[in-house]
Amino acid sequence: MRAPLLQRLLADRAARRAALTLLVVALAVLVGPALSPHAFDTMDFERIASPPSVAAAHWFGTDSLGRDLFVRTLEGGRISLAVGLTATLVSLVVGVTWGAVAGWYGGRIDALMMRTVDVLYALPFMFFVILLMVFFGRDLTLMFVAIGAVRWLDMARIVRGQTLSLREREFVQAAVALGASDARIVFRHVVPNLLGVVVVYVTLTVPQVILVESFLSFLGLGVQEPATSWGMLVAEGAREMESAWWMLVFPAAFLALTLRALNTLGDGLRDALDPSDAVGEAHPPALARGSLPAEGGGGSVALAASPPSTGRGPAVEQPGGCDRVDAPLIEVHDLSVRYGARAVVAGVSFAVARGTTLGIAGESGSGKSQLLLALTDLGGPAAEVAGRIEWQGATTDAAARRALRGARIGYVFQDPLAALNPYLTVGVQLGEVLARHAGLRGAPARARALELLEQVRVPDPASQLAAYPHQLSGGQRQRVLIAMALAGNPDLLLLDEPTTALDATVQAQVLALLAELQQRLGLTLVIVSHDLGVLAALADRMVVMREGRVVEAGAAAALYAAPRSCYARTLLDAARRLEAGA
Amino acid sequence: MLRYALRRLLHAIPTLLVLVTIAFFMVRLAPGGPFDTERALSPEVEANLAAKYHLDEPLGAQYLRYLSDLARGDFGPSFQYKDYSVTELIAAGFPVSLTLGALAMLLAVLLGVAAGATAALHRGRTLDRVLMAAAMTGISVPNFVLAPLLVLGFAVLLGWLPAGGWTEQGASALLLPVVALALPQVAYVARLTRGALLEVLSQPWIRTARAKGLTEREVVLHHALKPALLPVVSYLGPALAALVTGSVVVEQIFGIPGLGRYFVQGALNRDYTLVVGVVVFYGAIVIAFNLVVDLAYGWLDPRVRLR
Repeated sequence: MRAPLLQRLLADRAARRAALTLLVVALAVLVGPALSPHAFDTMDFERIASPPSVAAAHWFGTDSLGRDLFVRTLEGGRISLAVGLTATLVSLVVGVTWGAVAGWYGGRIDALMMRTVDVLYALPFMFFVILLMVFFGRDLTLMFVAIGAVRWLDMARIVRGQTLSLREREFVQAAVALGASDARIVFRHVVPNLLGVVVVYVTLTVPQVILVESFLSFLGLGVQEPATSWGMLVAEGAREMESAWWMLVFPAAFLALTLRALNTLGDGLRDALDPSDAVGEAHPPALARGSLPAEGGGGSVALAASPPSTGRGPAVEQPGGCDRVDAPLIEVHDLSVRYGARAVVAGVSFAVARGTTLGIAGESGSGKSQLLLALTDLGGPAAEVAGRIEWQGATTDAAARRALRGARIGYVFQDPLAALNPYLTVGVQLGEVLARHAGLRGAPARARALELLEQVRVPDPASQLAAYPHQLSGGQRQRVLIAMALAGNPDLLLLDEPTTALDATVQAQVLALLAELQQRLGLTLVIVSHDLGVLAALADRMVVMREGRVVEAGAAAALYAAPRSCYARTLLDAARRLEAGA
Repeated sequence: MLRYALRRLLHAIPTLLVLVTIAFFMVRLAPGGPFDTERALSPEVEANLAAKYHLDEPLGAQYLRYLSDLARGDFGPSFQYKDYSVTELIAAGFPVSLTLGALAMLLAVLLGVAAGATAALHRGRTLDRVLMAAAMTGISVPNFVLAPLLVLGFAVLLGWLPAGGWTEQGASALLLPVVALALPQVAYVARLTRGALLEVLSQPWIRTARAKGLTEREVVLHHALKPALLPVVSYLGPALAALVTGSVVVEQIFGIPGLGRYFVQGALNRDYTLVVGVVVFYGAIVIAFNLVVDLAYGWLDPRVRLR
């Protein structure tokens, strides 16, 4: 895992630049002072607070005691960086040990240890560090301990969380079974696996520690003369800035540059470790599996012996010829959806007559959900849609498809818990559709919302309006989602796996409701499902998709009675076997 | 919700107790005492003073006395300002610090949320990159570097704003200290808001909101913004702690007569009771504020509120 991590990190331009900056700063701090003819503590009373000059080899000028600022800035950097690294090491040892022990033993020990962390977390620690320095004098060792003691809490929390999950992993369990001692398991098996996370937090802790050290030095509680650090130099510079700006600007620039580089590098490391939230990610999360081969040939391997009459090429399978629909509500011609190089829908065509139901079947990853999203341009900015979509005979562009949302096309998503906003009540989420598409607000909106909930058979609708989605049952949530889709009086309802998240009895109820609503409101339905049983209950016509293409299309009754393509037959057989088995 | 509030309240008690205990033993352990003067006192005088300040009692009794004094808001006498009690000094300095801190907090939240939301809505584009680069600089430049640089730029070189002082220059004197105190927090809040908003905008229910035909403005303002602000709300506690710490240097640099300045003066002059008093006072405020923030968070998130 380490090599790809480094590669990902180096691909990040900001992180690369930050690493380079750090390298330059470190090098300057190490060898820089040797390049100057001056020593960091030699006072030159001829040149007190003199501006930067190349001739005198005072490249950053001198301070109020005539000491060379270039050398002092780099010397101060040595101290700041050394304190940063050492104190981080202290916090690392304390934090990793604390977190690993708490996570490893769990139970009451864990509860007690993490409660301690919580209590310490709530204390204003900087003040205690200051108190320590005030009471016990400025001692570098004490400073390391004090700062390290402040910064271990985050580390402890993260390491504990990771340890808890690592504890259940096989190789750790194996070590337990082999009778290794707790300490050995924790430090040989668990801690090394925390490396990635720890590296990120070390990178982010170093700048914070340098900050604390500088802060203390700035207050005159840190490093002692004639030694110096960036914080001290900034403090001196701040006192003299009206007459000698260079005393402030050079150390401040070094300090800020170093802290920024460390923070940037830490950010880059974190992104490299967790690629899921990298900027500019092109594919939607739903597409974890099943991208398409560029050519359609890959799909035929498993399915031998297809009848010669049907074949599997798109030209034969397209429903255009034998599968004509008169005056369709929506018609799709040769629709393709790509995310970058990945095609998820390839050359799909179908048409749906008003008042009928089209079922789209296919296994997960077959592109059926992506197809549905494309109908109202919901695929997001990364989705490239090609082909033609006609609404009531008129070709639509993306803007026209967006205008259909909610008003003419209602959408019911799968997993109703995820599809409802957890922070808004049912009434609010229903009301905004009514406000937008029916112009209803206030009392009339409430009356209509109640009517809609009654229509989808939500019990006690008045109290459900004030409820949050997590307070409803799964079936009720799905009914609310259907009510929301109906609120704009649409012609067409798109349903993406409308019953997958529900248990069997509720499934049957929701399907019955959909059939009833279709009858009563004259709705047109497009239902996507991997479950042929669900589609059999509702569909007039069927489209079977596989790997983004249509493999079979036609009247539902005919397809169920005599599937022409091998794939549809396989799906049907599988469904029947499941039914027989159940 | 009530049970949640009570549990949080219970959790705050040990934290406060730890704070006070550390404070008590720090004053006791610190070298030197309240009557160390240049001249040695006679044993009788010393005994009298010890009796007066109850230093002759056992440590446990002193600790209990300290606790009960604190409960009544009595932080003891100041070592340095002989005629004042620490309570009086806190009462004098805190209103000034509160003004400064409240303004900085307001600026941090308003500007930070605005910048973070703008960046999130322009994700990957130039505006996003510029804002986030600025925020990265912002979190990396500490108050005590920013403050003198601001003075150098706006007071010394440009002469637009006063370099320090408090009441005599009016509101213009507030501007630089508030900005110096707030900017790192602005940057932090901006990064937090951007990340949270992007996270929320990738949720399935945002797609539902779009499928309902809501405008993008409605989607962001009605559906995404509130949940995206929850992490900002929970950051307010740490933000206050950072502002309190920052105020120590900012007040010092701008010569503002706030509590932070007393703290630094006290620290440099070994005024132990004053220093410990300020720490306990600010610590209690931070703990209380964290409690309020947690309760507010619970109230804002219906899944916590209705549990």
